[in-house]
Amino acid sequence: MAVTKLNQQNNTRLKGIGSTQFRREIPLYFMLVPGIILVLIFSYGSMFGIIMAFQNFVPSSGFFDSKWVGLEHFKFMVQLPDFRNVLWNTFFIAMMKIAAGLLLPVTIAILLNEVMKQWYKRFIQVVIYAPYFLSWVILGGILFQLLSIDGIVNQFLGLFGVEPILFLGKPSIFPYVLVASDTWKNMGFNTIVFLAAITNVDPTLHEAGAIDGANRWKQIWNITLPGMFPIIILVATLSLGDILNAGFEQVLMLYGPALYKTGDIIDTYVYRIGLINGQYSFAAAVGLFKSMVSLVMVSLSYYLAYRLANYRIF
Amino acid sequence: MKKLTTNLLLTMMFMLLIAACSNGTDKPSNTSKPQATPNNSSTTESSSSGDKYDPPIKMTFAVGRVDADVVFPDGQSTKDNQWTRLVEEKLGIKLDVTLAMPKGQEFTQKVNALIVTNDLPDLFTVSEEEMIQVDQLIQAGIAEDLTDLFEEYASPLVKQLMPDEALEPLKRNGRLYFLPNLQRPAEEGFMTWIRTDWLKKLNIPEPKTFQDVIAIAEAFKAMNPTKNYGFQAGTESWDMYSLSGLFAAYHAYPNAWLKDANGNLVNGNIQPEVKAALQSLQNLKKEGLISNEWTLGDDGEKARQDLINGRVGIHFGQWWAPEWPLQLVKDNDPEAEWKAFKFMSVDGQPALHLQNTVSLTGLYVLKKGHSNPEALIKMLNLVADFYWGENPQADPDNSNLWKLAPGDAQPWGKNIVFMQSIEKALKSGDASKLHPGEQVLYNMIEDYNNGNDEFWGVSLEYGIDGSLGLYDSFQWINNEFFGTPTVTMNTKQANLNKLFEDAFISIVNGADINKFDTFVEQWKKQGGDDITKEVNDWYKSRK
Repeated sequence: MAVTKLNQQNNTRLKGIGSTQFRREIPLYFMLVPGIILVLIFSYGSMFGIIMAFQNFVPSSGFFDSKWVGLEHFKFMVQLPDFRNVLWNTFFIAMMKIAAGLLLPVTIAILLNEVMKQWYKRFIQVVIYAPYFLSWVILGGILFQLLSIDGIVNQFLGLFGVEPILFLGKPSIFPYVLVASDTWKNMGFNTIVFLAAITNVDPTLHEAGAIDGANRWKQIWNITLPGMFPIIILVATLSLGDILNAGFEQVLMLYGPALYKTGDIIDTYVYRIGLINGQYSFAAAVGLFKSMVSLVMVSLSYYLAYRLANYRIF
Repeated sequence: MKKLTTNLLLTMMFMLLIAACSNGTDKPSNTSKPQATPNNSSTTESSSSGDKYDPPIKMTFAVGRVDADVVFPDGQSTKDNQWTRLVEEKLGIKLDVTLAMPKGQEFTQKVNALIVTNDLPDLFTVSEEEMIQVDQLIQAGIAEDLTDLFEEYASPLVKQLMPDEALEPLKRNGRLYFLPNLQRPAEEGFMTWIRTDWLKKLNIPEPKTFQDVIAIAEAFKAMNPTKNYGFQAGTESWDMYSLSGLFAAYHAYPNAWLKDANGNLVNGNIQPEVKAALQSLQNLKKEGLISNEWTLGDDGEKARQDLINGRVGIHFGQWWAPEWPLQLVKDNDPEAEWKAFKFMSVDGQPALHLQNTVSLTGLYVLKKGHSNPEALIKMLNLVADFYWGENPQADPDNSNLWKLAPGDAQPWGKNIVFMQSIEKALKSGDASKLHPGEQVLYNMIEDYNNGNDEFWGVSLEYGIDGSLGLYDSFQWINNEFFGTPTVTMNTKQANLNKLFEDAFISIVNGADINKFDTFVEQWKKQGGDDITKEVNDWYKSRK
């Protein structure tokens, strides 16, 4: 607060002499430099490799002597018998993950907000948040144990007379297992974001509502939720950029040949066809395709975030 | 709410417990080199080609197989070890190890990056799984032509270990562009492993036909119907779905190129024999002799866990199966005893064992343009003499330093040779003539005979009637194709594999067996016919 005030004073008093301010901020700009260099090298520099997608890239020929083939790899990609199926799987799984990854954390955040006992609230928060820090390699192993035919979940269902379910072996169920386990792993993060959003809701509104006779439910519905709405829209639109990221590591850990029909996503498909078989150019072409779709979706999401939540980055 | 908390807490704790308890199943390398006690590791007395470079020459070396099992003795490191010291002392070559990584994709990509940035070292290893990389290097003119150098400089011992017949298939247009680590293909053959302590318990005689094997599977399942099943099966094609013996029983050999009656190559996946094998698998699955969860994961890990936990008593594996994974079964249940059998068939015809035409465990490529390319052959001579010369040496105990050597050669069918001489020594009690590498194994087996179960597996492989002795009685069928992938394979093989796996999995799980015919048609249409033609062109071009 004090700093902004100072800046404002400076701005009014030293009108037009921006140079003083700039000079004082030089160290700050300086601190930005390493970050910018890293971005330039690792994000922009490596973009040079995109040309592989238009070549028949052979490492021993390098970028300059590999044969140019134009859009051949893209044509090949679209003609692949499985491509549409894989694209649909990716889209479907990612959409479900985005939806579940929003609804559940919003609900939990609102419920937690109503909890009066602080220690209980914190405990739940930690428990929900913990899986977020585990890698899919570990969680995959845990899921295999939990969901196997004689695993704890099937044993539990067996108490109610349910026949054992092949959670990780049945193509029809597999996408939902992916969505459920991904939500389980990641919901803690968004829950915390939404809890923060709730604390930003003006408490006087709740007091006013209580005086006007609104009960808990009415308060949640008419005060808390609308208050959170901008953040919900923001999180939702920003996640649109992930529409073709259905979770490479997770699927790779959990799937198998029996599940390709519903579980194979673009990333795993490219991994199998491209990297395992050494087809770097084809893998680059599919990667570029993915990036193009993501670029469109991210642009759209920023526009939507601006229109719906008045949120701008630039 | 409170109940939910307790439940969550319990689940969390349970998960941690499971994570902590799951069995570690590390796969040991199946190509262990001789190892000896430290006092044995004096330097070699003479190098066959005694000329030393003066002044010393330099050579950079990137080695991509420094796996976790390489343990440096005190004072040694990747940069400074037995091999860098030896080649400098004996040959006057300053070997600079610029890169040392475990075998795997990462090393391959690192080498690719070094090629692109023009930082390739003079000498580097390539994994045998990366023949594409080798061919790209040869086409780009990066690999040195070693044909004449090998002819001129290789010592008699090296030429004996790497005979022309073995090198011939690896040449490109008659020229040799790399030094392979040759293995006798027979040592990769699969065999049937059966739990003989269960056989004894159930009073069942040893099997003669595959019908007997199925009956044994049924009997093993009957011992504990809710827990046990008959055959280990998975969806990993590289291990023939863990079912090589079952396929062979019906004379089916998937994932191989076989010679038909007319001398043409045909793909093993689309042969009618596979249909018969799949029909049988479907029946076995119906009977509960194959796990309901056999498709989980893609490396057959689940079925392996079941094997280790004593739920399966039949395993199709290679000669080293006793060390892994059967030793783990033994660790869990000291009563467990296993015995190896040849493959058995369902009819009068003998079941054949599939073997590759060429078997490598990595290779060495020399970058074109080194001032003294013959230095590579001289180093190979030195390595061969060190391990297999008149005064053979072995690596310090458990160090596996051979993986860092700038060259590698071993006797044809080394493990089979070892087994034969160890068996002889065990019978006669005279171990004095054993190679230091054999001596180590001999001592392990003696240790096992004195009650140390840790070496149970080794004894089953190299001991009296060891599994390695079985290979000489096998009848083989060759996987004839060993070239680099053809043009159409590059683009369509992945999809064809998927087609096969899809048909395979759905038929075993109960789909109509005629789905196999649909698969064959699809396979042919979606590139299989083109690949077959390319493979046959390649095959004819070699004659």
